[in-house]
Amino acid sequence: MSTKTDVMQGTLGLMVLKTLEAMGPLHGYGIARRIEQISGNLLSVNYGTIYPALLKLEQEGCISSEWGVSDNNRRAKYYKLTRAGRKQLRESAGGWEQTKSILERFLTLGEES
Amino acid sequence: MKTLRAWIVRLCSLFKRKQQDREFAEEIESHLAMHIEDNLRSGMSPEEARRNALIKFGGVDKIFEEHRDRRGFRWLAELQRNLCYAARILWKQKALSLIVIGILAFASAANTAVFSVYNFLFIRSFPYPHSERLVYVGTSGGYGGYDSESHYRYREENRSFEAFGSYNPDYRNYSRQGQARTTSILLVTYDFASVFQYQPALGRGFLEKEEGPGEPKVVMLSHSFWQREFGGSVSALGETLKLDGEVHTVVGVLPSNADFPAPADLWVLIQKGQGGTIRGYGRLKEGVSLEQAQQNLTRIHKSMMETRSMNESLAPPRLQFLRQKLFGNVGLTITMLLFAAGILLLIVCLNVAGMMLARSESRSQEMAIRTALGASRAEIIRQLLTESLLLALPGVLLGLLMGQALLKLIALKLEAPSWVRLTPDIPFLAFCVVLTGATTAFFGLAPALQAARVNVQHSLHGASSRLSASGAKRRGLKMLVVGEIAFAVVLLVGAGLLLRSWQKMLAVDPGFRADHVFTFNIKLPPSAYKGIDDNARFFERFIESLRQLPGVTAASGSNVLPLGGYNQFFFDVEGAAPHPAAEPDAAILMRWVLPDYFKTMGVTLVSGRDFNAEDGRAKNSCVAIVDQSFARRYWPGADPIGKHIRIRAEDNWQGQWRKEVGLDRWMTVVGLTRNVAHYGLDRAIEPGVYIPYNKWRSSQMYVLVRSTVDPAGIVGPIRSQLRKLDPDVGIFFPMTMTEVVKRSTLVRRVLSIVMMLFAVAALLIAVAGVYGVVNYTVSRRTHEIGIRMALGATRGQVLSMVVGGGARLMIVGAILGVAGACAASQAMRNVLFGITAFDVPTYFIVGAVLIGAVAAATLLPARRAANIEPMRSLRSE
Repeated sequence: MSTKTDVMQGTLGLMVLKTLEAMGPLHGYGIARRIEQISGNLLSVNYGTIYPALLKLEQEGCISSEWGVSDNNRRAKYYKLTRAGRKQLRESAGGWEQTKSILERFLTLGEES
Repeated sequence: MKTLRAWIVRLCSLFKRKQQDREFAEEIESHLAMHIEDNLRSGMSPEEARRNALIKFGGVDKIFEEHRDRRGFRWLAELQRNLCYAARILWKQKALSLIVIGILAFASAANTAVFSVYNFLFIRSFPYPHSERLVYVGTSGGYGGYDSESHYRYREENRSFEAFGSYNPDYRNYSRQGQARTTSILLVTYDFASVFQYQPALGRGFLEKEEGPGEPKVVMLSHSFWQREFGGSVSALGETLKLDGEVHTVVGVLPSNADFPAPADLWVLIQKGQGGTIRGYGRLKEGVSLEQAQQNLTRIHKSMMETRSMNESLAPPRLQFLRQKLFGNVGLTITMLLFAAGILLLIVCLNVAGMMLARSESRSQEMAIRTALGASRAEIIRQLLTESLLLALPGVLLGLLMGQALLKLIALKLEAPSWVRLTPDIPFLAFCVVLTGATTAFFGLAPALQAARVNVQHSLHGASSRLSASGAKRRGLKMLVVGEIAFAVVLLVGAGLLLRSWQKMLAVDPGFRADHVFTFNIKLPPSAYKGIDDNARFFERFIESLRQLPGVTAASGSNVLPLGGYNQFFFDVEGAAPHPAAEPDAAILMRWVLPDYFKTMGVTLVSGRDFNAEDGRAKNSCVAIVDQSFARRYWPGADPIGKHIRIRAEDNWQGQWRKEVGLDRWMTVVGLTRNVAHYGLDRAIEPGVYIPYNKWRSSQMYVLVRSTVDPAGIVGPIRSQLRKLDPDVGIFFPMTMTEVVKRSTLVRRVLSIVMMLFAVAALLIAVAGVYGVVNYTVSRRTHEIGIRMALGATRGQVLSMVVGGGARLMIVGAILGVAGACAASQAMRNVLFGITAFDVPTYFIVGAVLIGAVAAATLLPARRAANIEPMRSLRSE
């Protein structure tokens, strides 16, 4: 079995939102790093792919961005969760929970029989 | 919601692409820098750190591209690119582009104008509430109208109308503060305004009780008359003015749009027993059909006739929808124009398609390179379509504007009343744009498809392509030109037939000499002139005074001018064969004339004598003069002089005064005149009768003056003569008889001219097409011609080869066109006059014009071909 998984379509946005909720405003590099860390290096993400995802979220109004200065004094673009983003996060997370529990039930059912 | 927001953001991003590119580049840079720093910190070498950061990031270019696509819309960006490119290409061929835009603009201007007129005539609703239920009430036969007594019965007893009112356009001598002038009026019943829901701009409308006899007479002012005469002052209300000597009180002012059914200075309320012959308009109740209303009024008419005396026999009512009444007789004309404009548009489209095709040929190498570099067929088609649309849309829009300006000019020229609205409505405008745009795009697509089929290998080997000169493309081009010629021939023949009809009509001998005759109408106020004798005395004195004026050679008067419309009666004719019951009886045109009428009007008296002053004064007898058409109809081969005729008894309208003048008995024919084309130069001649003027009760007359001087110079002296006789009488409708004749030919003239314009434009465009294709062929065959000449072909041979190519196109086009024209001219039969649909001279002239035009178009390129120097053309490889 492969040790690294490709990011499933649509889940990257949710991860970005969750990351921003947990960490507060963050630049693209930081978000990518953080997602990699959290997934325990199981997720193979080209850092670059984070940017189209960020753009989509921004166009939808879930996040906003502005230029700021990083810890080691470098100019970087910071992304921030908006109120719509929080709502979106809650809804998507709820949806995932549900999917997860349904799938779990199915899979345990299979084990029992 | 979220998606919508994203779309808007993406749309906006189209306009700041550069800035966003820069910003994203900066973001990536900062990303990589941070990553490298981190890597350095974890102990990598600088090179290693940089390499690792780039690998982890993934392909920078790919991400950049993805980001950019995500930012805006791919297709929009592509469209933008296509547009820029197309604009550059079109700009490079400025002359060609301008020609295309120009002819497109012309054709769509013609279409907009004609379509707008059509729209107004047949589609658009009139600017009145529920105008689709408005109905005109006239009569079938008789005077075309009814009297006020009938109106009251219709009004009270009908169960069909929501609103019903009657009117009669008339004119009056008008004086206010001692100055006599003439004014147009509309006699109306009190409820007339309610049919069109005209709301008074000031004051009030008429009241029912004011219709009673003996009530004070009241008028409403038209908006423009109020402005002109009263300076728009509120104090106009309650003012009095004199119409034909009678005092009327102003009760209100009409709104400015109250110019239907006829523009008039004043509305005058009809009081019981007055108003003359009136007609009506009614608004049907919802759910009532025209037929039901017709039956309803016919029944009322029938029961009314039982109670009213025979002497007042009136024709039965006839109902028509508003549109039918107004435009029922212009359908064919406007349909013809519509077809002509459509054909013109088609020719233009063919022409544009041809130009695009020729151009795509010259660009085949470019297309090949693009295909070789990976452009898909769809992309090339999109590119070419963008180009043709970029040509079509400005052309069409310009055309729309030009068409609008043209319509404004027409409306202004015709002094169109407010209900004539030639401005197109929005759906109609959209229809025009889509139609023209779609046609052009469609024709732009044909070359695009062909271009997309470019054979890469072939085109890149330039030389080989030149030798094999794609035959399919040239065939396509030729077919387009043949189509243009064929359609142009259809238009030319149509216009030619109309012009010939017009020419035939102008050649018609009207039976009178219109030149040097000046005419106007006068009307005696009934308050001062009581009855026939007073009227006659005035007219005789007035005419006599005119004869004394310098330059006047003859003067007379009549109740109806030639070409002046209907005034018909049924006659009993002594010695005529009994009238077959199956045929409708002939209605005879009757004109009351003063002595010297025939001399003044230039009507030849064939035999017998003119009326004299004694004829009119005789109370117990009456004489008449008939025309040749009358004599031929009733007494073929016999001398009409001394025969007797009589106005038929049942036509005995308003009987009392007729007895007084002796019109109820047999009249003796004393003279025979030539026929006059009274109903129009292009209409059949109908029999007519003349009667002395004193045998008529009316107080109005058309005065006729034949003079050797300019009419403009004679009006002044005439006015002063009139003022000397009676200062309260004014001059109405002054004009020359030449103008009268010209006005009667107006429709045919306009139709012929417009059709001719269309046809000439079509011919020019088609000839340009021929020129284009021949020129193109020559330039593609330069090499071949060079070889031929090197091998010994003479200039003459080359010349005839090229001209022959053009001639072949013309012959095929002409054959197709003549076939089309034969079909089209059959549909036009009803508007032709004096010629058949297969008028040989027309076809002959069209042929000659076509040959001349095509010869001119082919000779230029042919000469160029003949002047090719073999050596140079071969070296140019």
